[in-house]
Amino acid sequence: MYLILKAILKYLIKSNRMKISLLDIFQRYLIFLVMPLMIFLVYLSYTGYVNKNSELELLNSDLQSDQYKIDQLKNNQKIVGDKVDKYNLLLMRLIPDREDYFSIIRALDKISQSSGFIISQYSINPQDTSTDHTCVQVEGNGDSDAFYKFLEDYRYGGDRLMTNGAIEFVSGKFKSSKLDLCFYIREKAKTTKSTNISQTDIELLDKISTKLSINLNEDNSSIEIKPKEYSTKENLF
Amino acid sequence: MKQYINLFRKDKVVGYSDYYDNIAWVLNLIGGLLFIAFLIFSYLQYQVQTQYNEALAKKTETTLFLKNNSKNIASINIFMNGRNLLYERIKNDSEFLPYYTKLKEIVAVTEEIPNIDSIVIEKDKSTKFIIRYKTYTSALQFVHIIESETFLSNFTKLKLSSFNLSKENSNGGNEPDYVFNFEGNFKIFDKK
Repeated sequence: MYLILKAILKYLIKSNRMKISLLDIFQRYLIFLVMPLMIFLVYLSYTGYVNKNSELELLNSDLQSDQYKIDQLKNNQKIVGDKVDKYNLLLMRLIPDREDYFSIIRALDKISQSSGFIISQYSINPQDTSTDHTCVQVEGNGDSDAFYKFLEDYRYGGDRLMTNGAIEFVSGKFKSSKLDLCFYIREKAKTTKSTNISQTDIELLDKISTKLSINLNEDNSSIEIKPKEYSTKENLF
Repeated sequence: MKQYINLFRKDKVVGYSDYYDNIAWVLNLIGGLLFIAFLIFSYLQYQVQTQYNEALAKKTETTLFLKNNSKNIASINIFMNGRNLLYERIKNDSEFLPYYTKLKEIVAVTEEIPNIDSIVIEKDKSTKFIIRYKTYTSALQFVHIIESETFLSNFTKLKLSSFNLSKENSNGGNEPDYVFNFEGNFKIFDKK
């Protein structure tokens, strides 16, 4: 730019069209030289401002997300208190990470004993069973009270979550009643949309805990799942 | 011929110099404006930089807080996942007893307490049930009740699929039993 300007000025002086000194021209037309610099400076300051502004927006959105997490954490901690690990243990008992058929048998046994509805037979129903749940067809006997008690407690009473898709109840017929019960496990890859913990959740879990053999008011150490004690023989022969 | 020199007359000779003067004037103006723009953008950049520094300090703080509480966050996330899964799985349950009890309550408004011969409740709360009356008066009373708002408010859908006079009467008398077959859906209610 400068060179072009210089060439033009030289041409004008040489052709006697301008009778002024080069210094005058330089002084008078300094703006021609300053202009590109000004444009460059404005460009620099503008792009600097725009870039910094977009960085700030990004940072603010990060900050907002962090703040939301912190608020959510504080709010949830306020509701759950220091019992979160106990509730997790309870939820883990209801829906464990992997299937353990002994725990299904133990759950059926427990609910049978507590209700008085004697489960005489059970078999896995392969048609309704999938990777995340196992369905068992149960046949049992008992009087109306036992059956009602069973219906009242089966969902959590066995320390595992049990559901029943449909129940047919025929008045007065409690012998050889058949029920399809499903047990669930957690799918590891599956994460569900998280919403804040509410007081209703805690009330439900407290209510469930009364039906399970977990006392949430005990210390953490004492609610560890202990292996069932079996009678052992010292002398195998 | 007398010659005058008009001292007031000024022939304007427009040379290159004038053009350049005009251009220079415009460029000076533009230059001035550009300088003002430069100052404004520099000031704005300074302002944004200050805000950025403040936000960065806050971000460091929140990151540290989240890092220190990572164990608690993980516990809460496990809790929320477990809870969501529990709610999701509970939906597969027919919740027989609360709905059965409810049905017993809503039909027990006649003189005679009817017998629920059989009932099926599915997980989507669709239902089929059979109600048996031994006396004509109570059966007639029941016909009026099933059309009432109070009774129907317990269902999203309900139809009387059949009505029979059963000769296999339960009281051993001559009068037949009055048997009502229903099909429909329970309205989901709070089981607290």
